[in-house]
Amino acid sequence: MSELSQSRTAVAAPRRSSGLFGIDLASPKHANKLGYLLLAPAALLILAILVYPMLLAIDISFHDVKFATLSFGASEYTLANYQKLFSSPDFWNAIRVTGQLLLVVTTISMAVGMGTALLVNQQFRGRSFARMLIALPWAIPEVVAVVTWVWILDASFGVLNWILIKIGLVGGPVSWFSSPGTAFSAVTMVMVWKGYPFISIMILAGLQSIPEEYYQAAKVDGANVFQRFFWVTIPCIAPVLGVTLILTVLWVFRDFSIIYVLTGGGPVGATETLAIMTYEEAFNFFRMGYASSIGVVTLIICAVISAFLVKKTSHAIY
Amino acid sequence: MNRTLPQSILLYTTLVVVICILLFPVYWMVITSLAPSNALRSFPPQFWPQNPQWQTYTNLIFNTDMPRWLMNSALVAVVATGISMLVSVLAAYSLSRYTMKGGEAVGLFILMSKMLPATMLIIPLFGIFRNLGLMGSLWSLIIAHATAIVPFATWMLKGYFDSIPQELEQAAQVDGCTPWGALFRVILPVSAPGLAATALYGFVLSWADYLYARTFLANAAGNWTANVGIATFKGEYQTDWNVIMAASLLAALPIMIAYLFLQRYLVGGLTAGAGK
Amino acid sequence: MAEIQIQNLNKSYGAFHALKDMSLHIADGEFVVFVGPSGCGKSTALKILAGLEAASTGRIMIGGEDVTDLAPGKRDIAMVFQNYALYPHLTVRQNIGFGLKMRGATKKEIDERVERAAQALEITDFLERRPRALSGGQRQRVALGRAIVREPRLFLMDEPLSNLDAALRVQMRAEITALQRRIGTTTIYVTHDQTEAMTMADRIVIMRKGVVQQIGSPDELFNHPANIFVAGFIGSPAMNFIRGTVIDERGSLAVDAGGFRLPISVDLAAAASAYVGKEIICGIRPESLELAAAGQPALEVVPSLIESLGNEAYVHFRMPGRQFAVAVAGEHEHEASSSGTLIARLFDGDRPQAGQTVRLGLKANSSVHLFDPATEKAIS
Repeated sequence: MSELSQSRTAVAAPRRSSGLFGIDLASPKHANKLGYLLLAPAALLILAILVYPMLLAIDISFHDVKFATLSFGASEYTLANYQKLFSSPDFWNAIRVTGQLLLVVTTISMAVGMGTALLVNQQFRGRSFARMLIALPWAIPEVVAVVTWVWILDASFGVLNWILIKIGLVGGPVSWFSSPGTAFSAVTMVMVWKGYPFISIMILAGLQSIPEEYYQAAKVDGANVFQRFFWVTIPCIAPVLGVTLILTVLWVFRDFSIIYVLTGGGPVGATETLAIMTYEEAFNFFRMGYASSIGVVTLIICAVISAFLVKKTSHAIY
Repeated sequence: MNRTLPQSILLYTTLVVVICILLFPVYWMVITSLAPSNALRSFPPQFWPQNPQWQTYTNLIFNTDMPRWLMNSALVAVVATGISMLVSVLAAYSLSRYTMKGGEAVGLFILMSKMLPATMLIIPLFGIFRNLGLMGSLWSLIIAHATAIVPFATWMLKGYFDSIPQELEQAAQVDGCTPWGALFRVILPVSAPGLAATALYGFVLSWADYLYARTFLANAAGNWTANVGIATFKGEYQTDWNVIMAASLLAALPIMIAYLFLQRYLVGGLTAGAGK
Repeated sequence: MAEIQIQNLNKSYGAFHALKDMSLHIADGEFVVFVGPSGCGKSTALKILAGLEAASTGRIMIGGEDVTDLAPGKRDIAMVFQNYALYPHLTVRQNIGFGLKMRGATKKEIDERVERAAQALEITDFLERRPRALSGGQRQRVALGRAIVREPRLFLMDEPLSNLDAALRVQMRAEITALQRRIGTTTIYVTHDQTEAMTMADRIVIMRKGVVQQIGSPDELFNHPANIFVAGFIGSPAMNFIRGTVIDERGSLAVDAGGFRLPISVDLAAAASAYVGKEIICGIRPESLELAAAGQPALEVVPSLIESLGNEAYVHFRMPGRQFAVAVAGEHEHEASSSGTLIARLFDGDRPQAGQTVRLGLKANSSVHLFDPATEKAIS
């Protein structure tokens, strides 16, 4: 070891570089400056492409503009858009449709997601392959999924009608997109199909994080399979369920592509959610101010719902 | 696991039935794409193609705009992801390692921005892009996609960086690295899988978009992305479902491949920033 | 190799004062251990020395050079971390050579030095492996290798042994000490384990809540603790503290602890005379107690538990109303109050039975430590 010390002068001390503007950002004194520097590009970008547009949208919603303007306060401030909105039957219809869809889609996809997660959480050969297959619809782009379902639901040659007739559930072919009830069912089907894989993946991750000892302890205490599910599984995955529920609700609330490509909101507004209505008002009728006011209301409802769910579910953990 | 034979049979039967039902649309997409046109109008439908029509695909690739649309999708996804990753990596690292005044507020805003309805955000973006003359250009799409990718990537990456012990870059600094050098020589190589997963996820987000693409590119058919193309096919080729399904499959394929790689990291991505 | 000067070092996080006015001079080649319970400021002090955190006020000199605002990489120091912090994406060879590479050493030189360091630590066989393929002890050696290969002026070690199992810890403890003696590099070692501090240090700096309690050699700290905290922290099992009153028995001072009479040694008499008739805290090391011979002044106790270790036995007992609980030993202050029992450490001899009355007396020539109950400082 003594020979180690002979060569110690051989390695030069690192350069005494002075970094940016003569400030050595490596010095402990300046560490936080580097933190700001690293955050700056993202902060500026977000300011430009998220904050500014958002404020603009809120501003537009208080103006009577037909086309999006870029200057704040271009014309007189007015509450006309909101007054019109709250007295419009279309708006209340959209609220009702969105609410119904939220309830139905969330409930069914949570059930399917939970069921599939429990299924592939079992131990069996080929489990990882099964897990991959079960959540595969996640990897199908929404537009692709919708187009595929339109073909499956086709009134004349759709395979679903053939199956339903074959097993005697319906007398003749169903024209899915021409009546409000069936159109709503079609939207529900596609949304559940696109929505359950996410829930399944999340719940499965939650299930896997439960220590096996909990189940062994419950067995020792004499709990049967249902008791173990309700007293071990559910409480353990409650936080995961909470997060999943919030994200699913937000998705259903704001999703555009599925409904727009599938039904366009029709027939007669049966599937027109707030998101569809916003888009239609903005880009079909070019009532940008009015559309923005719907967007603002959507944003507020989203915020309220998530705040409520966060409160509820974080409560459920304890 | 000690399971009796009947239990095993029950489990496997359930599995097969459930998977068959849930994946039927995917199966149907593949089968339809290979079926001859006349078979599409047969009742009962054909569940297995007698003679697969591969020329549907060759036709699609050589005689339609589909390859171009796929290229556009890829181009937008790669550039949008690249730019987003560049700023997100730095921001995520900063949020993970430094305690700064205002840093938390920025982090929180990024998180809250996930709640912005895209159908609302698109209105001011439309105006901005029109004024900048970006309408119909792929740049409009790249910027719009960055609004979604940056917040999500920042939170996902912050999660990865949080899981890397801080001592690692402290050691690097003691070893003579600048903080910058520690990030590039140690932290980034160590988080390579996380970076790859985040980038892949960003790619998926961009690729799956329809809202922005159909709005900003409506009048520039040459710049369409695959999703816009397919949605239009649906209107144009009313009955040529084999063509539409083949195109759909091509558009879904990159994401399905990404999914195979992403599986392990999916939960981190899906919940980025949703926890605490 | 260099001497270290720490001058009035302070560190605050907002209102929290993590390090209060620390001053210390470390001689070239010295092995100094910072010891104390968690939150005592020892790690903060080390991080400031490394340049990983900025000092609020104060100055650090290494080899006469002011390094207070210098980047960690420019201080010519090396650090060993508790979790080793090996670069997972580099091989052992690259890990050890990383610092040299950053300093622009040639490839040949790096290879030679890594080779030498690896030999010294007996890790030559793993040079091409990655850290994740190594055992805890091997990782520890690589971390040491990364430190010694650069031959820095100062080694900083942050609880380097706490992730090892007990047997390996004892072995590595000896190896690190031997290594440091051999290469003679000034070393600052942080630990919460008083045994490590006692066995390894030339000098110990014992800290609590950001304040240095006492600086001295292991023997000094053991024999002349400056206050109740130091007395209770150093030594295992911890010192017993009993409340008593100083009495004057015709010129010779003693402590009366509920009928148990403890003589005060001559050298403490002068200082203790001010406390006659007042309450005082006596500190008695467990090994100072023995089974009392008949007729000898003794404390009659009923042991609550007797732990036999073969060649010795720990007798746990209580003195209701007399005990003075000090929560000190161990990593966390609060978890250490040792359930409030007192302990006598008996060597060979008889084993008393739990539940039977035992007469404990003070060994001849053993010292009783005296502390002021208000200030908790030693009376001497």
